[in-house]
Amino acid sequence: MADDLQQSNRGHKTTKAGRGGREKKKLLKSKKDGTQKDRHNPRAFGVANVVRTQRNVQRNLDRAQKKEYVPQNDRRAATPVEGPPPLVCVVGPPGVGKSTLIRSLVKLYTNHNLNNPVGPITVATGKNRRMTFLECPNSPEAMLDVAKIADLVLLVVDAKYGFELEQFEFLNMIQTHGFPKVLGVFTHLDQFRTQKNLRKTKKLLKHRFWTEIYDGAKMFYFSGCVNGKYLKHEVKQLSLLLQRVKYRPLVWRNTHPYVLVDRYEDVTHPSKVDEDETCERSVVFYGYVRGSNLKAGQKVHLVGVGDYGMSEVGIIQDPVPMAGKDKEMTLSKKETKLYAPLSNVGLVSFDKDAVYIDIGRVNYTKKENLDLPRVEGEEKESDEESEYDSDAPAGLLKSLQDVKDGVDEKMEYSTMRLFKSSKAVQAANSDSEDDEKEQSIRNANRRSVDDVYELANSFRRRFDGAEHEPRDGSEQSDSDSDDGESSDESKDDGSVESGSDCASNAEDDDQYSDSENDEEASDGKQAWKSNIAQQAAMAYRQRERSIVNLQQLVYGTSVSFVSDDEGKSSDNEDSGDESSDEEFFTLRDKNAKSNKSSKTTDNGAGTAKDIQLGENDSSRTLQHSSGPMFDVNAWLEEGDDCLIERIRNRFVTGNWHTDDNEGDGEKFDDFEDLETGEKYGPNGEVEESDDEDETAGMTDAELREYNAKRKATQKDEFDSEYDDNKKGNADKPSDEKAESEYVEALKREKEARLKRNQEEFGADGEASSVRYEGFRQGIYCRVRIDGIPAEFIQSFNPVMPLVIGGLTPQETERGLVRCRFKKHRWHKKILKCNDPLVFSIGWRRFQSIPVFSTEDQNGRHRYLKYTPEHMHCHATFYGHQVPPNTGVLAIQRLTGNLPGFRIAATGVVLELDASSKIVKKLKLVGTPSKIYKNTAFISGMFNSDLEVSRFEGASIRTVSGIRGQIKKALREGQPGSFRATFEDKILLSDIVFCRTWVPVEIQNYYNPVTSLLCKDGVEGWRAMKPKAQLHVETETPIEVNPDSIYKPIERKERKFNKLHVPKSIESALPFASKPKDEKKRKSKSYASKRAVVMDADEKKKYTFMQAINTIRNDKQAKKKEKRAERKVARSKELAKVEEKLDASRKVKKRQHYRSEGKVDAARERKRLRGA
Amino acid sequence: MTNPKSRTLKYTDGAIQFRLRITASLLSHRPLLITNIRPDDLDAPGLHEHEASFLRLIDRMTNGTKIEINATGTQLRFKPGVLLGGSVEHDCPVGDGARSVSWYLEGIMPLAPFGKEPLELTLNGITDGTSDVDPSCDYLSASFLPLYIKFGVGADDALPPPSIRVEKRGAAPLGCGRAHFYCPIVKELTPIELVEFGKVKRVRGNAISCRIPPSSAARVAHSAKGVMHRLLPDVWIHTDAHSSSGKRNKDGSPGGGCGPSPGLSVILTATTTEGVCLSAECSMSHNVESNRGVLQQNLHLERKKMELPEDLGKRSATMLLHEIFCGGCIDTSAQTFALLMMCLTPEDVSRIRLGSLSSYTVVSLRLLKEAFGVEFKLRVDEEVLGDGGSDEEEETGMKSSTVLCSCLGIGYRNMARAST
Repeated sequence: MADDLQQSNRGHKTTKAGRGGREKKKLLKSKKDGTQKDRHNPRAFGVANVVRTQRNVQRNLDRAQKKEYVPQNDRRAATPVEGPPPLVCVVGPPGVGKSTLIRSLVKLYTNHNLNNPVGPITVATGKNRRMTFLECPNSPEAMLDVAKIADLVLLVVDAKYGFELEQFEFLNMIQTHGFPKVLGVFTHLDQFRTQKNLRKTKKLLKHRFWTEIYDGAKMFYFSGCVNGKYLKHEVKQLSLLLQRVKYRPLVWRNTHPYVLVDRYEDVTHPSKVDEDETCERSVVFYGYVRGSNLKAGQKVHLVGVGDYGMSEVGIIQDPVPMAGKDKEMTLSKKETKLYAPLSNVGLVSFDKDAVYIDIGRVNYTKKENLDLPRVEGEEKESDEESEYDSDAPAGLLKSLQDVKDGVDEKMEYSTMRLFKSSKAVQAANSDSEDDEKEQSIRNANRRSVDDVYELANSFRRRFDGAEHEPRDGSEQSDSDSDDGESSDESKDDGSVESGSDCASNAEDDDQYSDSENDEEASDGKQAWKSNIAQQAAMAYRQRERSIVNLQQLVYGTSVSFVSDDEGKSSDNEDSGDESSDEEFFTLRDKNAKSNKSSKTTDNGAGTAKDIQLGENDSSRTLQHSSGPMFDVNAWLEEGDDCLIERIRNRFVTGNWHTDDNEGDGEKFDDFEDLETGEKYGPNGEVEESDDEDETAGMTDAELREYNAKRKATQKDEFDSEYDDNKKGNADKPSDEKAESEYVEALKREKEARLKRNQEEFGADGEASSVRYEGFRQGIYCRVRIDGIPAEFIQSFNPVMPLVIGGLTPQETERGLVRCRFKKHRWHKKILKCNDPLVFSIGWRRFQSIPVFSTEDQNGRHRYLKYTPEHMHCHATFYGHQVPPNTGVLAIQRLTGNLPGFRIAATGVVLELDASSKIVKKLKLVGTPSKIYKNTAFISGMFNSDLEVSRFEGASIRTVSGIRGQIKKALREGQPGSFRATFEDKILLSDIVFCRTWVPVEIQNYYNPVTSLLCKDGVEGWRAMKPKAQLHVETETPIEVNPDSIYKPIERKERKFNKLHVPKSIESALPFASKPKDEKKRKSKSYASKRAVVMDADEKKKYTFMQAINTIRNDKQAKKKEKRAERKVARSKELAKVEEKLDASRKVKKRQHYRSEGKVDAARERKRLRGA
Repeated sequence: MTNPKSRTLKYTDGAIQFRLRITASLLSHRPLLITNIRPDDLDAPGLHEHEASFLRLIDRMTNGTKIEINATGTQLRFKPGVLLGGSVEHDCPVGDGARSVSWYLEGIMPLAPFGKEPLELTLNGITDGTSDVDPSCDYLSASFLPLYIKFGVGADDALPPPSIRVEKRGAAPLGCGRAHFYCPIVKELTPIELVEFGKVKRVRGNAISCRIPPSSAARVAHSAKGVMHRLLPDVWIHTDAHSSSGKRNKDGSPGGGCGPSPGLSVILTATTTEGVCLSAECSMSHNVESNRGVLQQNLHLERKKMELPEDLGKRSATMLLHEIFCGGCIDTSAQTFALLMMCLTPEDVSRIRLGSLSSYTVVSLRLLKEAFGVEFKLRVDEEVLGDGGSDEEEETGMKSSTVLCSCLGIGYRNMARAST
């Protein structure tokens, strides 16, 4: 910004007097003299606190680092014009107001009242914007499909009721299948009686919603409902919100194309259906290509039906085209577009070669044919008109009913002019027109078939524009009439025209190839006849440098099996005259064919189809040494124009500027005189008026475009410069700079790649882009799939979303899928191994049997009987392969109205393989039959010698912990017995066991959920039942293995013999270790045998002591008695006191509980009152 | 046009492009059926030994592959499985008519980055002397490995870059050489843009001799340099002489640094300012019998028939010049490899400039279209050579027309690789 633009404020009053004034004067004076001193104060500008500053810098760096991210891979169209309409799915349980929401939005955008919104509804919401709305029915399989395709989810919640389990289930589904944008829409807010309650509930709901999505997720409230629609201003606000939503790129959709089917047509031949109701149908599906590019040869999964190859893919006219750039800014009332074929709006629908018109009533027969007495005349006509819908197509169709003659009759007298000046030829007598006639007959046939095809409940009629239209002869003559002619017809008609251009594929291909021949023939018509052999030789020699139409040479002339209108028409354009001529001048055609055949036989290199490789499979065939072109001597020649001189400029030693200044000795590069601003060209001429020269011959529009381009480039330049400056100002340290540079480089590379993608194939028109890269997203396509079961047609339910998902070649294969798996914490029961589960991975839903396992520390995958309660485990099952890191969701039972949270588990795919490594522990048990020192013969562990030999060297163990090793099988004894050694001698009573691991076999069970093939949806689909359910249904008791029951352990009392120490050892033992427990003596010991004789004195002492003891004993006995008496008395007293206390406690307790109850009751009453 | 229902790749024309078909089948996960494999060859009907050996190698590298060959070997059913990788050792058959280990490597190289684990492949057999039919290991490391890097194989720092190491030379026909190939795995390739040729700035080479006087290698190098020096001073050709040391190894195999057969070959690599690597190689054709007894008796006689080392050097140099003349950014022998890898890139545009398409490439382009549904956009880009640029010269045909090939990848991702 320039300084002069800045706001200027009035300055402070300068001090003139006092100290300040003096100082100032001094300063001014010193400034004038130049004697001013630099006031140098380094401390003022230095770093005050080194450590803190360092930390600050580090912190800032860390934060900046956190912000950086590698740009996400986004393959969606850069502008909304190119891409498909974003898919807005309205989700919620029944009764929350989903249909009302869609109805309100459609009314807002198109001013159209939809009675019953069914199927995808595409609406033009602005000049360059459109949107598809889809209501998600409340069944798990539909919710799964919607979770996979939605760009924006409007999660409708009945605020009065709160969140329901279905909503949480859906949130869980989108979490596993890629998380699109979610917008909460809360309805039924008018049912709250008090404002306070409303506020409280809103807050509660908000927090719950935020924990599920993210903090700050957008929500919207609908405060009421008027005439079955939400309030207009609120809907308008929501629509503003919808416009501003940024959709996020999702990994799965970046790599997979998909089509949400708007409508379908059964194009099976009616006679085939008549023969057999249940014959396989060929069905055409219509919808926008979404996700990545849809390729013609790709396999697709029709969700809920199965895997199919696409028989035909084509582009058809977009039903909701964008207004584009050249229109005015806003969408006028007339242009508002609504496309909802399943909701019964719009009367005309287009196909490649047909238009279906809803004529609005059941009976097709005209009134005058119905034996109703009517007055002839004008009145009747007008009556008819008013009776019909005044809509143009219907009226047009009505006029067709008045055609009196059949087509074949008409053909009799139809005329056609070949050339402008020539006489018209009548169809009846022209021989060359047999082709045309054939076609007309065929069309007539088709018409008669159509009559049969008329269905009572569908009022749609096939309508072949070209034949039935009353036209003048000149137009009818040429089926290749261009759009200019038909532009005066109605718009629908135009598309019919283009459709008829490629009425039959095969025919067109023929034409195409023939015209190719013509071209080739016309190139060298005369030369061919003169010297064919020489020509061929020439061509052979020049093969390396003159590659004529290489594409054709390599891939042959056949057009790829993509059928698209534009491609055909462009093909016809360059061969237009010839192909139409062919029908008449058959002679020339033959000529061309013979030419071609001669060419292919003579000229080996002419058509590359003839290249034959040997069976030695060497990439060096026909090259270097043996190749015809390679000649060593040619390169070794000396001289000025020898071969080697030609490639001198391919070397650094050669000339670097061959193109710029050949022949011009002096080099005079462009330069600009900086002083005068004049530019000089390479030869010194002034380039001032360059721009004017360029713009001189331009028209206004061109000029405008030129200016716009210049402006854009300048803007880009400025932007990049500005960005650079900003970065420069930030003054980042070099490390961070490098880091951000890295990210910048990534971003730049990504942009360059995107640009290249757009430029490479886009230049040659849609046809070639379709050929090379398939159908880009945003194209309205028509997909024909053959072999769809009749049940699909019979049980079609328009409410269910119908999705065609593209598959990569890897995903069509089945194998074992190992995924990280966790039982959902809201699911009531743990999951059992080998019980079937319905999985949803990628596009598919199928039932399979998982085996759970866990990875041990040593990398072993150990089998688990059940999923752990709150932990991840691995689940391995047989199913279609999907790329690792794809989300997996499992549901135990899709059918039946089960209470509780239905999603059983979620996870992510880890690995795909053909075999699994899951093992299960197995303990082999044997008993010793004979024991030597450390060796024992063990039997009962194996059944044969062969088994033993498999386990030679395996470690075994006894229960008591003695370790050993299996040595060798024994010849004699029980088969399967072997010799084993132990680290110690084992006992005969020991049990020996060998711990091994056996691989677990995984059942190859795969049952796709074909819910769209059953009358009543998923309820009609037959699934494998888990064992527990079977037990309940068949009332079979659970079998019990008696071995598994716990029994009381009975242990016999063991008697041990006395330890016997041999005499020799005992004698050697020290005394302390010698056994000392003596036996009972048989005779008395010496001491006890002796009698004690006391003398008088001793006796006196002895009696005295006895007397004392007696007295003491007596005293103590008395004391004891007294104490007992006292104790009894005391306890009696205490009991009395306790009795009294108890009474008082009881009273207190009663009082307490009473008051508490009162408080509770009051609270309850309050709550009831408030709610 | 393929039948939408059946995904099998069916061929009734025998073992043409045998390796590429198997590779394409493995990468596109489509079963393969080849019939009429040399049914009218009375001496050796059906699959040859090296083809069977290649199938064995594939079987060892994959899990779940089903290979069915009928009794006469004229029909092959191949159902692809999951690529494993890991360390694999394989003995390739040797003898008369046997292919060198690089024949196997050429088939394996497009598969190697898409395994479960990095591939460490050791191949025993012929390593040299078959450059008229197969690129040698040196050629592969000079021209295929740079392409690998460009496609993003080995761009990850966690794993070492891809490499081909010849641990022991073994010339045709008796082989006894040993080559080691390592390739890291990738999640997905990166699209390439390789259209700028630049200017050739240096030429490097290697003259390899086995069991012949070391002076021959020097003579080869000298003559090749003589030709190249007319255009460029920066030419450096190593000589790599392996002699028979006479001693035998403990296991009875011939000692020394190479196999029992004599051989002489040379490889030249030109590098341009834009980083394009072009290689050419040739080798002395062995016209000796595989029978060892005959070999020793007739050694003197046979050698006289052979090409002079000087001629060999000149031939290799002119071949390199021809390669440069063609103007492609990718070697003629590596064209198919580059195109196949381009098919497998993410859904972005890759573009390369090729010299004239070899017939092998043309056939493989059709194979790629059938297997992957990828059609290349081929544009001829004409450029006048020579600084004169007069009309006369243009008439004489000194134009070099290169082919710009571009395609949109199929977005192949390594699904065998386990995520953690």
